[in-house]
Amino acid sequence: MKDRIKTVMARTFDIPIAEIGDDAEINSLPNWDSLGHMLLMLELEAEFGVSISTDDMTSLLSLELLEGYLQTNGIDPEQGESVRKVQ
Amino acid sequence: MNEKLPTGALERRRRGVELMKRELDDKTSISLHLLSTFNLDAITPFMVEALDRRGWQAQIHLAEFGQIAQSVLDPMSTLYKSNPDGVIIIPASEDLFSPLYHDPQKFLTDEADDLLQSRAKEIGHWIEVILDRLPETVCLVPTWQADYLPQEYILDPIAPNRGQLLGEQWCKIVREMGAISPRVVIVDWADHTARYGMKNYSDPRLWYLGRMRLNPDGLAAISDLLAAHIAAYRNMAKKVAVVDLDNTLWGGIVGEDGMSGLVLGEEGVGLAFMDFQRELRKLHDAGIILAICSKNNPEDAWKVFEQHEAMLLKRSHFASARINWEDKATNLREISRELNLGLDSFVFFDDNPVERDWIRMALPEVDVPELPIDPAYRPQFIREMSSFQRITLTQEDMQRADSYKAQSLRTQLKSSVASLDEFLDSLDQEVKIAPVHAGSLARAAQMCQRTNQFNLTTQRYTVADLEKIEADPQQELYTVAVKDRYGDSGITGLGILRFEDDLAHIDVLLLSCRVLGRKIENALIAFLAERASERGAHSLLGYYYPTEKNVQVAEFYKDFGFEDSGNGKFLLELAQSNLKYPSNVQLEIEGVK
Repeated sequence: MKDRIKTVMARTFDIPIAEIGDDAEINSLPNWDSLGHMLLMLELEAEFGVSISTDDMTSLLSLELLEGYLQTNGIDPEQGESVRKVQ
Repeated sequence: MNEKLPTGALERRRRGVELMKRELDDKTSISLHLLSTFNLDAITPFMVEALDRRGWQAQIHLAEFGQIAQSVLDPMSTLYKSNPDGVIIIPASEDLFSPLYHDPQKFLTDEADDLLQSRAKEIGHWIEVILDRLPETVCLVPTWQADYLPQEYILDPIAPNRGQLLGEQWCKIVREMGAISPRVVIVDWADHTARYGMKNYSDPRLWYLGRMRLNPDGLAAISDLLAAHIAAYRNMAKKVAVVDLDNTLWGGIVGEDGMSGLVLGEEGVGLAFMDFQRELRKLHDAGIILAICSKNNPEDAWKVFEQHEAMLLKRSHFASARINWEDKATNLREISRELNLGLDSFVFFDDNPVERDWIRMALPEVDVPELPIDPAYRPQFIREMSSFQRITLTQEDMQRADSYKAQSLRTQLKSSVASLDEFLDSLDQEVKIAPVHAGSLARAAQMCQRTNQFNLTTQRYTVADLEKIEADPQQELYTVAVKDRYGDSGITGLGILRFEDDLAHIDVLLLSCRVLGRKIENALIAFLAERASERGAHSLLGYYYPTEKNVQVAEFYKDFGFEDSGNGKFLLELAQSNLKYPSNVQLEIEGVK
């Protein structure tokens, strides 16, 4: 799961995946600014087939929080696929 | 430019990010400055991507959003420092009219109309300031319809406080701003969103978190539309549509199914094929040259054109045809030679993905669209293609197809008369030379952009450049229009003289390939010499800048008695000139500048 999120981050922010540490958070990576954060949200929605609420968008500001959110919000960890429908 | 490109908005953004790492090539780079009332920071890679599809490397500058007036009015702003090729002003109507959107009861007062008029005046003024301070720049202005109405629960569409009327009036006002100058291009985004759905292009979360009125789908779509207008403004439109026959113009394979087995008619899928033909016929009538490239027995194929009742396209619509079993790349090369038009102006339609990939590989300059597999989607596919888009149709565009037909008639006549002079006499040619005016400026620029072969200096002047030349008392720009017994070719030649002491420079001399070999060039050069003498010049200086395509005019000046003075310069002492108007044209000079 973590690696899959990192892959999405790498392509969203256009940086090598190796640069993304487990402690990554907003403003700690190149291009992860407020605009980059919104693009990341949309990329994650497309990748994981979830719909992230506005509130969650404003609070999911680190890799750790994102991982926790995606694990409990509609991702079947076995299959890595969405069990929730996109809005 | 011909690989299969991503269609999803996020993939397009990523492709744009990749493209932004390229080193800029001056020849195809274009700089654009965007001004908007809302946050458009995310648009840059989308614009880069969309313009790359049309062969341009874009550099995008964005002003701080909501600061259009400051950027436009302050002569020291980054807008003027960046001196862009194009300025794009995107005012969202819900921002411009926020007092009304927030309090729709105001629609019932004079305030609504006052605001509409003052916004119209304001934006008109901005455009004029930009055009004035950036004399080379084109100004693109999209229309805009919000994704909601101020009071949607009032259902009567003309109730003023529903707010729909205002939105429509605003779009009408913007559309009419195109009249300010040929350098203003209206991009009808409101028309696009009316058909594709503004709601699909926006995301309220992005608005509340980032003041973005467009989501990635919206950014990709508006970038595409803007890029299409920029390409059209720069006359990048393709000139030739080459079509396959079996399963492209009609359903089925004529060699196997026979003419009666073809799917083509007023019902079902047959109607989709007819509609596809109808779209091609529209292109033909708008000046796009049609040609056939098909693996078939020619007798079988032509029989369909001659005898099938549902065929909307006739043999006469096609300027060239290669119906044989040769490889299609060879055939396309031959068609290009025959029409005297470069392969980079070709679009190739074929239902067969193998043929398409082969052409993409063998002739990467040809535009090969991914024709939808289902024929029902093809008419709309061809309608929506950007390859043939242009801002307006000139008179010459509309006559071009006829002109090519006339060309083949002339060729036939040529073989039936003995000498070239006799042939030219029999054409009854009328040549009209006139100083450029508002009505011919667009056509003159189009020729500068498009003429490759008979073009001595290949200066790619835009409308803005030509306006400047026209305004300069030391320069004179003349257009040449040609008519003969077979038809009116319209404006097909251009000459620009620049006077400097007793020297007259010929900065531009070009002719469309449609009128070559008919002594039109003799008339033009004789006129330029005469005009130079009239203005007191003693000598005439011509230039030849070689390109890949203009070898045929390398000896042009020498042939007319100019002396080669090296470095592509050719000098003629006017006192010693023996340039004469040719006897085979009836010349009319419509005044001088």
